[in-house]
Amino acid sequence: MTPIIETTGLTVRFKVGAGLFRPARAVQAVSNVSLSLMPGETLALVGESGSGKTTFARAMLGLTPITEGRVRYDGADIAQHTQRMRREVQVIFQDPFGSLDPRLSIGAIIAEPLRIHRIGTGRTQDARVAELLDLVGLPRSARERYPHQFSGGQRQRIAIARALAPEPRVIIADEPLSALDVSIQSQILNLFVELRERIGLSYFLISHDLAAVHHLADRVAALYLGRVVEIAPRDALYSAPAHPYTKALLDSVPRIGTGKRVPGRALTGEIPSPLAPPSGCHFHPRCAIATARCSAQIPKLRQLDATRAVACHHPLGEA
Amino acid sequence: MTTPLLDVTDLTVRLGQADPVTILDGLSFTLKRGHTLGVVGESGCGKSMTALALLGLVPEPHHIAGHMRLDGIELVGLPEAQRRTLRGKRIGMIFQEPMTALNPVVTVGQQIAEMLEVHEGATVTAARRGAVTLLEQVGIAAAAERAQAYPHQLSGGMRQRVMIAMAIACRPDILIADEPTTALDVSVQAQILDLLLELQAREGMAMLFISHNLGVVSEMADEIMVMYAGRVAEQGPAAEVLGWPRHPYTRGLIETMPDIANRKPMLPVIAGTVPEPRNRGPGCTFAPRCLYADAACADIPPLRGDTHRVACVHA
Repeated sequence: MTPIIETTGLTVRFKVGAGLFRPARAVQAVSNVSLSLMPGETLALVGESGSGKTTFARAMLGLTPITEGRVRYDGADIAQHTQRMRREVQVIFQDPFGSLDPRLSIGAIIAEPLRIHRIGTGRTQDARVAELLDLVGLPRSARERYPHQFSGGQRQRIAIARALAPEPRVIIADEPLSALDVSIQSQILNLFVELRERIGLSYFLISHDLAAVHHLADRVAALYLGRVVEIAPRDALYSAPAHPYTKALLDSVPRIGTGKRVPGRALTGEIPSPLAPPSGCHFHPRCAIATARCSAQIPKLRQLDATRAVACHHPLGEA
Repeated sequence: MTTPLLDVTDLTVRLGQADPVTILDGLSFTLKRGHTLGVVGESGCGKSMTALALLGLVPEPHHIAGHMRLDGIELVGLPEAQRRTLRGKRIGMIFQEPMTALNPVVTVGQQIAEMLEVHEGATVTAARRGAVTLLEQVGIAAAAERAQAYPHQLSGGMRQRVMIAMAIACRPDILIADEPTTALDVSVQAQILDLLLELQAREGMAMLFISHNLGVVSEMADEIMVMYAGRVAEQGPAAEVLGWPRHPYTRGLIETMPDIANRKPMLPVIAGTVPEPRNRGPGCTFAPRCLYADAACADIPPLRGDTHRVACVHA
């Protein structure tokens, strides 16, 4: 099967801090990331803020210039498919307050991608808007109203309806839940599952919420300071993480009913600045099992089995 | 039985003058020294208003009825001058977004030192030294150097540590933490939760820990108060409320969260949203969203029970 989207050695470098007497420094935000999204699959990208998740997604979409590597869409270079990709890959953002134009009615917001991509006539577009409102669970009367008249959860439904308008194959969702109340998060998670079953969508989910990722994803890739440190099917990754970073992230998830926490198990330190990345394995200064080798040598991403890969000199569960 | 440090009885907060709207409606809870009360509920249930009422920061015009007794001192109706001395000195506070709570043009060291000068009457040099010690206590490395930094030069986790240093500067009896880790990554969240527990163990302060994340509250609280639309829905020891939730709202909140240990294809949902304060009907305010609601829910359900109390006629 051909992946819908495939990146090979994707690298993004920015130049920052150039001043009158100061040369610009290069920051490597994404380093040599190769990922593929299969049709109908949900792939999640996890990691702390500053790990390069959003930059990677932007580069994959062609919204941020790629320094090295390539992106293929449906088996061919994205340059050949720009128009198709713009229609078939849609994005949902974190903030449903900032991502909807306050001066447009809901009907106009949802119909906008149809007009931009010249899909259908005025009449068929109207019918499509009604259909989309049904699909995301909003009343049809919503089309005449404006974003400020809706709650955060309803706005996220509007953003989803807009994303679905041009019949995309892929939805890229960048922290789609973090601005919502817990009770609303479950409604939106269910909507994602329903849409996947009904339309056969693929999702590329970016999130730091590991419980939500567990609920939705088929495969999970963990990113640390721009590098993929582990990629594995969901159950394998959650039950037996191979990278100490993935394990630390999972151990940090607060759980109900395990009683009061015992301090001392938290991951120490914070994600370093990409301006001064640590040598060798970027994670070694925060890693409990780091050795001299870890500060000297960058661990390569290597396959543990057919579906799992890890970039660690001392992967967990390996004698 | 020892008297609780904080004893809140029938606290009612109304906002506005001509056409007042009831935000908190007959809230009662206690907080013991060294204990943590976790307050949960969706946005709009009155969690933050409870914190503001304790701090004496409810926006004007307002009307407050009931009692809030801190160590025997009645806070309701206390003149502002006396409230101001309590605030910061006996009741410390940390908020969700330290960037808006910190002054962007003053170094963090100076901001902490100011607390010590105002509340403790410390000299400028002593306050400066005290600020550095506090930064060390909240786990900031190279504290003397960091004291010279401005808030924007620090990471989100560091800023929250600075907020905590300010809040504990005067060794308060109570620390109010309103969504203190919501803006942080899980890894940094774990560090801040550890820090709060360590400080609590050392200083013996009580904590009012507000969060919409039941997992976080479960790991921090001794007691839990579930709020819905300005009232207490359920309260009691944390293990009981989370292990044997009796109010349909509490059960809904727990079940609606994705659980890594028990994945369900579809998540149970709580339909609808919290009613606006003006649209709260008579009777049980949760009834319109409740699967068990019937004619018996037409009256406001009393909070019943001994240590584990629940406001539901069907519980």
